[in-house]
Amino acid sequence: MHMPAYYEFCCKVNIVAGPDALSQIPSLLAAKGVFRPMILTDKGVAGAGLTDIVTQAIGDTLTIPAVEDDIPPDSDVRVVNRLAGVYREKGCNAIIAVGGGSVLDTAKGVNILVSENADDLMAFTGAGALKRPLRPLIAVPTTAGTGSEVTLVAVIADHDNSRKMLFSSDFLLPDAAIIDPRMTATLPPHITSATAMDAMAHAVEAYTMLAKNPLSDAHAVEAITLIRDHLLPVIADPGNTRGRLALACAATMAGIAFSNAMVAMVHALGHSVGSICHVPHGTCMAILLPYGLEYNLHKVEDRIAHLLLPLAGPDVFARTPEKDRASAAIEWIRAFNRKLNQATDKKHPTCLKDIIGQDGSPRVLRSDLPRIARTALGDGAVFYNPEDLDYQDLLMVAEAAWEGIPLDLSKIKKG
Amino acid sequence: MLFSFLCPAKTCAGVNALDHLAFELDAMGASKPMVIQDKASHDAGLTKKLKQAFSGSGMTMGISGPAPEDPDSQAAAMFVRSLYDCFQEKGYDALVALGGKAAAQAAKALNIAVSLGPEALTSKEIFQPLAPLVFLPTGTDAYDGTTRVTQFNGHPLSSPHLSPDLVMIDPRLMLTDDRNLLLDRALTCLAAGCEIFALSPAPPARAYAATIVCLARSALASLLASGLKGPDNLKAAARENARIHNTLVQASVMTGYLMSQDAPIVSLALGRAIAGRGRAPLGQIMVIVLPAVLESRPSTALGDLYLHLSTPDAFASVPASQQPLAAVYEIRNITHTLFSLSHGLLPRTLGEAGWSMDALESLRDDIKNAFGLTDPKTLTRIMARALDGRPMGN
Repeated sequence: MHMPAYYEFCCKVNIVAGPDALSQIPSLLAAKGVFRPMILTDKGVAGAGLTDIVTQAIGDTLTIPAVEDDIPPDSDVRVVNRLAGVYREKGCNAIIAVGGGSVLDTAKGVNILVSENADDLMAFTGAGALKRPLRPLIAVPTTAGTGSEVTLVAVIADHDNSRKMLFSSDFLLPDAAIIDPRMTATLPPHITSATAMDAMAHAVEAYTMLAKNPLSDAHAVEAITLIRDHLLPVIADPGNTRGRLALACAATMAGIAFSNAMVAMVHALGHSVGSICHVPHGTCMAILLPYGLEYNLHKVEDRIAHLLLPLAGPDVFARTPEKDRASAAIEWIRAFNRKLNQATDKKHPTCLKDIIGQDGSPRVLRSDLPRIARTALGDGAVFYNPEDLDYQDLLMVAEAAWEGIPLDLSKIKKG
Repeated sequence: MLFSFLCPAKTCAGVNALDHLAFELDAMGASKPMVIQDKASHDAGLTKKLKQAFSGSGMTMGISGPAPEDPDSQAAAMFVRSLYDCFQEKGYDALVALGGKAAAQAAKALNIAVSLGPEALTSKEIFQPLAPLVFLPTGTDAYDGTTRVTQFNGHPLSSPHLSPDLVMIDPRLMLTDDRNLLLDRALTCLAAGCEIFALSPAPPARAYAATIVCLARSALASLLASGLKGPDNLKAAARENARIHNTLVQASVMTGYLMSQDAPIVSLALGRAIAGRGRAPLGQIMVIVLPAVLESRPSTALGDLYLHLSTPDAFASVPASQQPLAAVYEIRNITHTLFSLSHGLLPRTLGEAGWSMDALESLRDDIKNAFGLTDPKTLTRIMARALDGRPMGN
């Protein structure tokens, strides 16, 4: 057990999970004394019929004055202001956010405005600007990957001023996260694999990087084990409700782990590839994860070696000599990606150059890599990486991940 | 299967944790906390450490006298009443409980009174959030402060809003328990952690439980390695006890979080009922009944429990089919080792602790009523197996 001299751990979200977890929403809101929730979601979620499942599960025990489904993927302060107006106009007293990161971030922004009776979101940016509980917020994740239902941050764009506003406070944590396998039942196999590997990357980076602690480790290991056991069976049988629930729980557990232990270079590079080349975040995570571990191998070999047990199971762990366990863990992730590639009819790419857009053209060009490396250098996640990183280091890792070849360990500058 | 898990407290643990207190209070919107301490903390002058931590923060704090031990006593009612007036008059906005159960219970009762009005102390439900409450544990009974329950004037209260918002574990605040108490608290946390890890369907509960088992096992290993008496050198013994104490306070804090979940902890319910009759302490009873509790219900995680009771290499060397047996054996081995080290004073079975089946049966209704255990047949089977130590299948 890794015991740092000092650590903090917090997840104040009531996690409610099960095949019919949505039906718990009325009692959760009743316990808070509220009965008029606004539902926030996006067109994709609504179009897939998921909002209908939520409203049917709630039944007629609550009054739902507004269902707003036009939150864009990259939500904006204008959207937040408009939705806060709807909330007030319709006399709502709680929010149910159904969707992924953008929906939840928007919901958090709306909640700030309506709880603080304010109209300027800027006044609450940064860490600790909120000083009291907000209105009840219930998160219903629909992707089983991001973990945003258990994070205390929100990022909201201000497109008019070309900036992104970051909000961070324990008061931004949702009151409850509802983990219901019906919300992910219709995800196609390659999105199921990408989102689960997003969660895997959260868990693995939380376990191996600098800000880990015993509780974040335990959450990370639970998440890894659940993904190991259930991802391939769910891809083979998308109607596997038990497996879907396990993957959704894994995503939440991984979200708790990384929001307490932070993430590092895999996410720094992943954010950069995603924003420059418009690649889904989970796809970036799956490809980059083994490279991030390889780059940090000399710094955190023992931690990576420990991960061979939850990743590959006890038999492989016992058969692998201690000195080889870290590299075996990295190879296991590569092999898992290859299995996912096969299981998804090659829609789960294993290197950056193999990511294909809807028009059939490659999403990430070799010429994009310098810009990706430069952008990653400015990402806050770099701060938590065990080994120092400069532009050349990030470019080297991006190039290897693009080609799909292991890193040349002799070229890593060991600080 | 539906599960829910809620831990409303943030945990800060380790060196100089207290230095973060003013920042954390500010993040909760508080600037003028009232500190409620128990007698041991008062006698040890621990509030000096608090004052040091607050110096330069711009915050002011009030400090109470020692809280009465019995929350149902007239003295406790008077104590809360007088602090209620003081809290209102001087404009405090948060509570800090320093010490153990007495401080935590008084702070929780006072928090209800100042947040919702004194009449709320007799209500059945608490729906609204209360004022910020910080718990600074000093002893290994910290689980009494981190649960969502309290008792005041003979009236039990339970609500997630009664959990502390923040638990801060700072080695400078520790009032080291004696070695016998450390041993029993290690067993209490270990048994609760093992049961929840093996039997809970909730992954977050299992994650906390895994951490508790690892912390308690580490403390127990230290206690057993140097014999039950500890090192002969007094300074070395004090250092070792302080280290073990600090580890166990963390385990105890997390055990309190798990005690606050919906599912009852059967070994704890049995332990409290049986140990309350005074023939063996709580942790010892819990570890004695634990194998029967674990074997009483199907569990897919019992084998994985062996990982947390041993080492990754030991776990991986055992075939998966044998890991559940190995986990139970490891637990039984703890009672065997204690029996041997104590020259037979620490019992391995409830029979050795002086109990008969008739005497245990007489507790059954108490256990059912107090802890919500609704399956009397299983309860009887567990007690029968714990009486003579036989495995469930035999």
